[in-house]
Amino acid sequence: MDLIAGDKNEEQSPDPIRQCAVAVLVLLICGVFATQVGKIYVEPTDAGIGARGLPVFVLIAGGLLSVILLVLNLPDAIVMVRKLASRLAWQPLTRLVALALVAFGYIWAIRLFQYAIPTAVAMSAMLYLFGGRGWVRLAVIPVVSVAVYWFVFFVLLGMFEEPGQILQYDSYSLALRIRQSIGLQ
Amino acid sequence: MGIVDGFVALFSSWQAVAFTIIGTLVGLIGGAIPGLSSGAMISLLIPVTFYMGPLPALAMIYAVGKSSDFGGSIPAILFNTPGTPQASATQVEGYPLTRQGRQGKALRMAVVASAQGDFFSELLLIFGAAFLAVYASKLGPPEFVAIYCCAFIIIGGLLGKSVLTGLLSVILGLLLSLVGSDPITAGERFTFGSFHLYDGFGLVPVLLGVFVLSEVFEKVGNAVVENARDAIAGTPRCPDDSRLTWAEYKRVLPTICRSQVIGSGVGILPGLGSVVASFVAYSEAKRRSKTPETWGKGEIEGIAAAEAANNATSGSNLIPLLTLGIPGSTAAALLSGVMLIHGVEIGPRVFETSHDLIYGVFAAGLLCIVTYFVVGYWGAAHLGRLIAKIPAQVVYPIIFLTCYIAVYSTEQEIFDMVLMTVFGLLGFLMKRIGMSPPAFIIAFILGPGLERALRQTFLLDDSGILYFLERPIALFFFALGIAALLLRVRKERWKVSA
Repeated sequence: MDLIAGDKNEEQSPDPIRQCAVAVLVLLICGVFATQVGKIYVEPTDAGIGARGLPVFVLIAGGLLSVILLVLNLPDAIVMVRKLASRLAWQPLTRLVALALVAFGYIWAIRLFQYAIPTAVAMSAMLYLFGGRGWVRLAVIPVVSVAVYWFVFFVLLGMFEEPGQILQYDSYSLALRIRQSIGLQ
Repeated sequence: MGIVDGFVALFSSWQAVAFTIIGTLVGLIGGAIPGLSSGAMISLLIPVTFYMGPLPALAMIYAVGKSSDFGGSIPAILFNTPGTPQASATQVEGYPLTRQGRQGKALRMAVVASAQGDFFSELLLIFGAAFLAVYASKLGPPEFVAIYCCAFIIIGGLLGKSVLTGLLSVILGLLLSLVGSDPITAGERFTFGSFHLYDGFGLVPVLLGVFVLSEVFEKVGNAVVENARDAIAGTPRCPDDSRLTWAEYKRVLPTICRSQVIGSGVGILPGLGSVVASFVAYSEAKRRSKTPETWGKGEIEGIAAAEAANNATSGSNLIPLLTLGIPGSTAAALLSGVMLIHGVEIGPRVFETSHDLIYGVFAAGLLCIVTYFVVGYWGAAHLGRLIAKIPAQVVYPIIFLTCYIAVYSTEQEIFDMVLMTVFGLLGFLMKRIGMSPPAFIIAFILGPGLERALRQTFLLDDSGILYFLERPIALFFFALGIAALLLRVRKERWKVSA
C-alpha cells in the first residue's frame, strides 16, 4: 500500500484506514476550534441564535459524525494496519515532506532576500524534486521563469516587491522605467 | 431581450471579448494537460481578475470552465490519458479510434458533440434561469436555510467517497468559513488572536491551496512524473478517416440530442457534475445501440454521447447559482467566488441588479462555444501534438511558483502564501483520505450565506426551529435533502452487500 500515491482501486472502495483518518482529522480540527468557542462575543440583546449558534452546531455535528465514522471503521482499520504495516511505502512521503520544506523555506527566504533569488532557487529545487536534471532544467529555466514572473507581475500588473530583511535591492525603479517606456504609466 | 443586451455589453468592451477568447484558449490548453483540473486552472486565474472589470473577469473564468470540458477529450483521444476526469468516457471509444488511424474523426466528433451540447445547455440557461429567478426571488430566509441545507446534504452525500466523509468535508468547509469577524456584532471568531484572520481565510489562498497546490503535492507524491504520451497512433487509410462525414453526423444526431438533455438535467442538480453526466449518457447510448458489440472498440457514437452530455452541464449548472445562489459544480462555485470578489450579488436578484453583466456573461459563453469549436475542429490535433512536447517535469514547478506569486498579487501579504501552503497540504490530505475538496470549497463559499439566512430566520420569528414547520417550501427542501441522503445510504449498503 502506498501511503501517498494510494491504491489503484481507491475510487471504488473507501478503506477503513482512510475513513478513520477522515474522522481523526475532523475531530482534531473541531477540537482546536472548540477551545475558542468561549471567546466568541455574544451580544446580550441579540434575539436570534447569536454569533455562537452556528459555530456550536457545526462543531457538534462535526464531532458527532466523526465519532460515528470512527466507531464504524476502527476495528477493521486496526486489522488492516496490522496486515499492511510491512508493506507501507515511505519514499513518496519523503518527497512530499521535501516539497513542503521547499514551500515553507521559499516563503521564509522571500522575507530575507526579496523575490527574485529565492524564486530561482526554489524553482531549481522543485525541478530537481520532479526529476529534472542538467544545467538547462536546473539553471536556465529557473532564471527565465523568474524574469517572466517579474515582468508580468511587477512590471505589467505594477505590484510592489517587498524589500528583504537581509538583501535589499530597488527593483521598483526599474519596473517603473519599463512601465513608462511601454506606455503603461 | 436580455441576451441582445448581453451581446451589446460584451462587444462594447474589447477587454471582455479578448478575455473571453483568452479564457477559451487557456481552458483548451489547460484541459488538455493531464492532471490539471479546470478548478485548478480557474483558481490560478482568479488573482488576475483582481486587475480586471467584472465582465472581462467573469467572461474569462466562465470560458475557461467551458472550454476545458472539451480540452480534456484531446489527450483522452490521442494519448489514452483523459485531461479531465469527465473525459474518461470519451477515452474508452476515442483511443481505439486513434490506434486505427482515425484520430481526426474522433476529435472532430468530440468537438461537434461538445459544441452542440454546450449550445443547448447555454440556451437553457439564458431562457430558463431568468424565468426561475422570478419565482426564487419570492423566497424568504427560512426557505434559503432549507435550500442551503438541502444543497449541503446532496453535495456532501454525492461528492464524498462515502456519505459520512462527504458530509464531513462540508462541515469542515462550513467551520472554516466561520473564521473572522462576526457579520452582525463584528466580534472576533476563531481568529486565534491573529489580526491576519480578522477578515477570515481569504478565498484566493484557500482556492489556490486546495485546488492547485494540492495537485502539485499529489504529483510529487506519485513516484513517476512522466509525459503520458505513449500513444500508438495509426496512419489514416483514407481521407474519410480524418474527417466527420455528414452521414455519420446524421447517424449520431439523435444520440447527441438525448445526451445533451441528460447532461443539462444532471447539470442542474447540485453536486452531480459532468463526470456523472458523461457516464450516464454513454451507458444510455450503449444500451440503445443496435450494435453494442462495436462499443469499446472505437465507436464514434460513444464519443458523441459522452462529450455532448459532459459539455451540456456547463451552462445548466449555473442555473441553481443564479436562481438560488447555490453553485452546482466546482466551476460554478469558483465563478461565484469571482462574483463575490467583484461585488456582484449572487442569487435571484442578480437579474435585476446586474442585468447587463449576467447577460454579457451568457453572450461570452456563446462566443466561447464558437471559439473552441473553430479552434477544436481545425486545430485539436496540432494542439495535442504541441502539448505532448511540454515536459511534465517542468509544468508542475511552474504551476507551483505561479501559485505563490499569484496569491501574493491579490493582497501583497506574505501571510497569504503561508495560508495557501497550509491549505495545499490540507487539500492533498483530503484527497488522499477520501474527503471531497469540491464539497469543502462549496461549503466554504456558501457558509456566510447560510449563517445570514439562519440568523435572519430566527430574528423573524420567536418560535425558533418550529417556524420552519409553517413554511411548506422550506419543508419540501428539507425533505428533498433527507430523501437524497437516504437514497445514497441505501445505495452504499447495497454496494457493500453486493
